[in-house]
Amino acid sequence: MVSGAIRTWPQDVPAAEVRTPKTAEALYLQLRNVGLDKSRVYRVREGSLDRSGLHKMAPSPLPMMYSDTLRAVFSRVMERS
Amino acid sequence: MTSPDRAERASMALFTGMAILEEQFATAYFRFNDDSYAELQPSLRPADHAEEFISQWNASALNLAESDALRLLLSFANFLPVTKSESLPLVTAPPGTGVDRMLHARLQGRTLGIFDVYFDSAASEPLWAGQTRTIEGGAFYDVWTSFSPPSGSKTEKEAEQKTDDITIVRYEIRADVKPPTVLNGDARLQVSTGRGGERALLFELSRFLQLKTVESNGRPLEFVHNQALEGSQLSRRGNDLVAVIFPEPIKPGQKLELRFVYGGDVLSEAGGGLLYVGARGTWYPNRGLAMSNFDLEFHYPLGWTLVATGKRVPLIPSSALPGNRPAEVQGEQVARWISQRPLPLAGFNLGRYVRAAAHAGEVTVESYATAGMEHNFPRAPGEVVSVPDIRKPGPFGEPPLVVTPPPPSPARNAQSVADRSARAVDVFSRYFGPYPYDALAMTQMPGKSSQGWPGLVFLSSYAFLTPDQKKQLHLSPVETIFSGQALAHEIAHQWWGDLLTWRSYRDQWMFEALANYCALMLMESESPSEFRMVMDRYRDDLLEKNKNGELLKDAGPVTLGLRLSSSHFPNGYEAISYGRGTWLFHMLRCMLRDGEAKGSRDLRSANENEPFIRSLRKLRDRYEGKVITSGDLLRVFEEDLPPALRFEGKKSLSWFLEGWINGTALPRFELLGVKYLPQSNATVVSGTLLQKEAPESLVTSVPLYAVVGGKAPVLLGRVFVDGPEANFRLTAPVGTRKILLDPYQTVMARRH
Repeated sequence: MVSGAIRTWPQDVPAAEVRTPKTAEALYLQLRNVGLDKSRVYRVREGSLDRSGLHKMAPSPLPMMYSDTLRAVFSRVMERS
Repeated sequence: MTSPDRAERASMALFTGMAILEEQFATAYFRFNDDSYAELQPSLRPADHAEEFISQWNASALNLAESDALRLLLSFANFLPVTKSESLPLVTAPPGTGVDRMLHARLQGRTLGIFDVYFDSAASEPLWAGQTRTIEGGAFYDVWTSFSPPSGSKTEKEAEQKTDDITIVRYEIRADVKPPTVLNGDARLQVSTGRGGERALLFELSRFLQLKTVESNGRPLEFVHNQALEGSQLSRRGNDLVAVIFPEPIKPGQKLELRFVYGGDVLSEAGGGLLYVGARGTWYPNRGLAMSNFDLEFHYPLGWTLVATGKRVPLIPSSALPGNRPAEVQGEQVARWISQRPLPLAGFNLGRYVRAAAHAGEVTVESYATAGMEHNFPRAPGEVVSVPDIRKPGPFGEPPLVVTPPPPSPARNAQSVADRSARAVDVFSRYFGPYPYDALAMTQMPGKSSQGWPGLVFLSSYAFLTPDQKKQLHLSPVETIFSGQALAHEIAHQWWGDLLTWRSYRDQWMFEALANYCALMLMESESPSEFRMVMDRYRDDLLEKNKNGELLKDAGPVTLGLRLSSSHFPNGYEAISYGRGTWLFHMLRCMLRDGEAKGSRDLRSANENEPFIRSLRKLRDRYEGKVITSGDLLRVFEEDLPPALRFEGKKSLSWFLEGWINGTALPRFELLGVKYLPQSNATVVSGTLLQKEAPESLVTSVPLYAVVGGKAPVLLGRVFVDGPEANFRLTAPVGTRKILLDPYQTVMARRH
């Protein structure tokens, strides 16, 4: 999964490992073709996501995965600012 | 997931069988741009069998990634490298300053199958859930519920901040129209921005128009428009959205001049000299319905007639055009159309037309029709004619001679269409105030549908038929009436839908229903029986059942808009918006009329002085050029609400909004225990009015009439029934021995 929460993630992956989109088209194509990252497969236990009027809960162990394709993009931004 | 109001809970129940979405899921796909990961992080543990998991789900993840890509591009474009220009200093803007939260969950429920739940702070209704379903070959996206966060919540405040503040002030569009298929466009948009900070903006543009370049203030911009999709993939997987990416965040209050150059096949030849403009709403880049000024220049071949929104103006001398472009080029025509006032959208139609004209006061009303019908127009069935020929007697007799009537020619009826249109413009101008433009063009369009654009009506070929020609096609009586009604319906849109428009999809019903009802008011004055037939049909349709035994009326309230068309009710939007909506306006009109004047009534006396029409005139005066909501409409009616219609003494129609507009009720009314008490100069009538097959909370104003001798029924008054029953006590004329419950059918109610 791609997540804006990457902003708050620890910078444990060197930016160079991930290809940085330089153009909007490249970024779009990357967003459209996001797959899974086998190094980031987790089980989630008793996690929940809440929004007003919406509550999602995973009470039983549930595999979860995400991809940080955009990590480098964020890293660059953070470095610049 | 808990919807905040009754209508949304009913919608959820229609699709899921439960008012609150509470479903166990075994598999889920989440995609988000916010801190959802941080929320979950404390619950994450390293998993076993990672590779097995990846091999099982990676293909699904890749497949699902496409659906959110464009939305996420709007978020992540903020992180693209900034190109600092000399003219525009770099502005320190997002990331992080605005609230931009999106979460999409695709869940595989244990009982409901695969469905989606969204939270998107950029949407006008940030929370929604729904499901794709295929029924009898047709794919529907059933929106189970959609709503804003509870009042006062943090997410509500976030959503408010995300309202669109990008305004397209003016369009200058040069279009080269090359029948039968091609349109090339060069559109310049003057854009004013509000808070600024955006790196990417979305525009609508037909997927079949290939975008060549986009510029901002002369600088090329990046754009995304169905990248990597070609041919048949465009129809299936493409969309009609363009994302335009700016080299740096837009500054607050910045003025932009955007230029789009594009072209493609969006026209098709329908035959008979007719073209079908397939991208009527998306032939130029726009951001949805919003008032703007338009300057349109069309280049098209000789032999064709092109009609557009706005006023046709003389061409600028070629010497004054940029690059000394010739105004008239050999072999082509050039025409320029400029909007006389801000319009919500612009369009054009073209064909090998014959023109006819009529006048409604100062307004020129033109009709444009072709000599023939489109290729797929149904042919009238042949008629068997027996022609005995005594010179050639044969053992089996003469073969029957089949005579097929010649195909109708719309051009021959063009003058009649112009005349009828002028009459409608004249009447509606008296009712709702002056027609907003100098001219109205009624232009023939292939197919059964019609559309009313500002000053330009795309009118179905069927509307150009005479009654006899419709008979030859064996249209049913109601179909004949409906096709005849299209002309006045689309003209009414000049006021309702073009001069005033709707704020959100929840308010769109007002304009279809009101345009429809305006057309029906004209019909009522000419043919009350046809009016009755249409109203009966609308009401009876609502009680039709689908294959699951669900009543069409339960597709939802009018305020669900296009969501009403679903896998349960494929034609739900038309039936509810046009049918129920028309009845709602009829109820309002009759209530106001009854509330203002007691006594006998004449259903055929629609006129500019009746309260319903007075209020509509006020609505127009107050809101022309603006968007309105259902609440705005009712507030205008409330201002002159007669005492007889004040439920619990309040000058408010909130009971009508809650029970009838936001509801699906179609009750049955009965009288019980009616007593007549003769007095010296009157009869006191008392009894109980029952409201059945309706929600407990439904409030209705029901008219009661007295019958005295052989005279026409006399209106006694209107009785509010709040819930299942209401007692009443009314004063009737001397000699009253019978009362009637809504004999003129002014309240939408079951009759059988």
